[in-house]
Amino acid sequence: MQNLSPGIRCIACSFCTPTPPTIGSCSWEPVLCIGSVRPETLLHAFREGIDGILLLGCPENACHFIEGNSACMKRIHLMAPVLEGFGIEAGRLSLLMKRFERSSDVKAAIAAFRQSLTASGVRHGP
Amino acid sequence: MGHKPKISICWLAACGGCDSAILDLDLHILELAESAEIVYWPIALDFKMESLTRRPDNDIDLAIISGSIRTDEQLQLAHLLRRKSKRLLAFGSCACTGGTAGLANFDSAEKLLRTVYATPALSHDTDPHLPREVSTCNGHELHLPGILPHLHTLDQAVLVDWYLPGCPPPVDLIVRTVHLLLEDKLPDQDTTVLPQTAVCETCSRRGDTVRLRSFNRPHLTDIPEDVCFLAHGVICLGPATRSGCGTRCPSAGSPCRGCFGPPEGVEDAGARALSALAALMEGSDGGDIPDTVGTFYRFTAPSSILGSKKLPVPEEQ
Repeated sequence: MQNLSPGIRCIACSFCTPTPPTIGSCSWEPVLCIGSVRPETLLHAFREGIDGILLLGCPENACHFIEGNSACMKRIHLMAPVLEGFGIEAGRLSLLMKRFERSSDVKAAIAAFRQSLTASGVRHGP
Repeated sequence: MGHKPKISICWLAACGGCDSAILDLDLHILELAESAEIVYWPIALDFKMESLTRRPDNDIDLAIISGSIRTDEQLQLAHLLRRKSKRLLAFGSCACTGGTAGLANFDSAEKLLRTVYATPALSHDTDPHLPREVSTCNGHELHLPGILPHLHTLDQAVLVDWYLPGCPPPVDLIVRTVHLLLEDKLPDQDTTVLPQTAVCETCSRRGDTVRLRSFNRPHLTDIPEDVCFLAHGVICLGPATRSGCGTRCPSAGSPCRGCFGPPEGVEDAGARALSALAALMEGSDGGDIPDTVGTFYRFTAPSSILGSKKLPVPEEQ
C-alpha cells in the first residue's frame, strides 16, 4: 500500500527546542538561530518534493541573536504568496515562535503540523 | 582572430527589443559590419535557416542569441546555432534568465493559448480559433511551430559561453562586448562582461535609514529624485539585481525591476530580493505586495529554484 504520510522537515532553534525522541518520517535539523535559514534552502527543499517545512523559533522578543526570529517571520510573510504563485500551498511552510520546555511538546507540534498537511495532501515532486 | 570573425545574430522568443538595441549602436554598427562578417541575422538581413544548415560545424565565431525558448522550432534553432558556432552569447534578459515572457510559466501553455487566441481582451471575434500545429488551406498542408509546456532560458537548452543581460542590454555594454570580441579579448567562458555588484552600489538615490513600514505603489507616491524608493515603501529590486545598467530606471524615476538578473553568486534573484526587503521591514504587518511572485520574479521565473525546468536532451542529428 502506498505510504501517504507527508514528508516533513523540521528546522528548529537549538536554544528553545529540545530534540524529540522519535518523530517518524520527519527530518530534524537544529540550527543556532532560525534567522540563519535562507529562503533558498526552503525553496530547494520544496523543489526536491518535501511536503511541508516546520520552523521552530524563539518567542517574540526572546531571540538569542536579538532579532533572528523576527527576520525569519518577515521572510515567511513574504514567502507565502511566492509559494502560492509556484503552486505550493502557503500552509506547507509554517513558523512557530515559542519556547518548548519538553520534547513531547515538540513532538505534538510536529504531529499537529503533519495533520494540517494531510488535509492538503501529499505533493508529487516539483 | 586572424580572419574576419563570422557572427550570427538570432532571436528566439523575443519582442525584438534586443535587436533594436543592436541597431541603436548607431555608427558602431558600421564598425561591426566592417570588422566582422554577419552570416545570419534574420530580423535585419535576408538569411534563411538553410544557410545555417549548410555551414560546417563550428564555422561561426560567435552566435548572439536573444529571446527565450518557447517553441520546438526555437529549440531546434538554438541547437543548430550551438553546433555551428564556436562561442555563444546569451543576449538580453529573456535569453539569460527568462525575461517577462517567463511569467507565463505560472499558467499552463493551454491556458496561455486560450487567453491570447480564444478570449483576447481587445477582440470581438465571435468565432476565435486556437492555432494548430498542422492545418490545411486550399489543399496545402500548413505547419506552425509547436508550443512547449514551459518557457526555457537559453542555457537550459544549450551551452552558453557568455551572458549579457538587460531588457534590452544598454548600448555601451553592447559596444564594449563587440570591441572585446573584435579584439579577441572576451573573458573566460561562463562569465559575464558585467560588474559583479548590485544596482544599489551604483545608484545615486540615497536613503540613510530605510525602514519599510508599508508597501506603496510608485504612481501614488511622491518621491524626491535623490531619495531611495525603498525609503518611501516603493519596491525596488536594486538590492538583488546586478549592476551595469547605468541605473537607467531609477534615474528616470522608476524603481529597478530586476532585468539584469541576480548579482554574481546569487542563485535565485527572487529569493534574494525577498530577503533584502524582509530585512528592511519593520514588522510583518505592512500589508501585502500586489502580485508578489510576479514582482520578485518579473525577469527570472524560468531560471528560479522552483520555476526552472529541464529540457530533454535532443537526439543526435
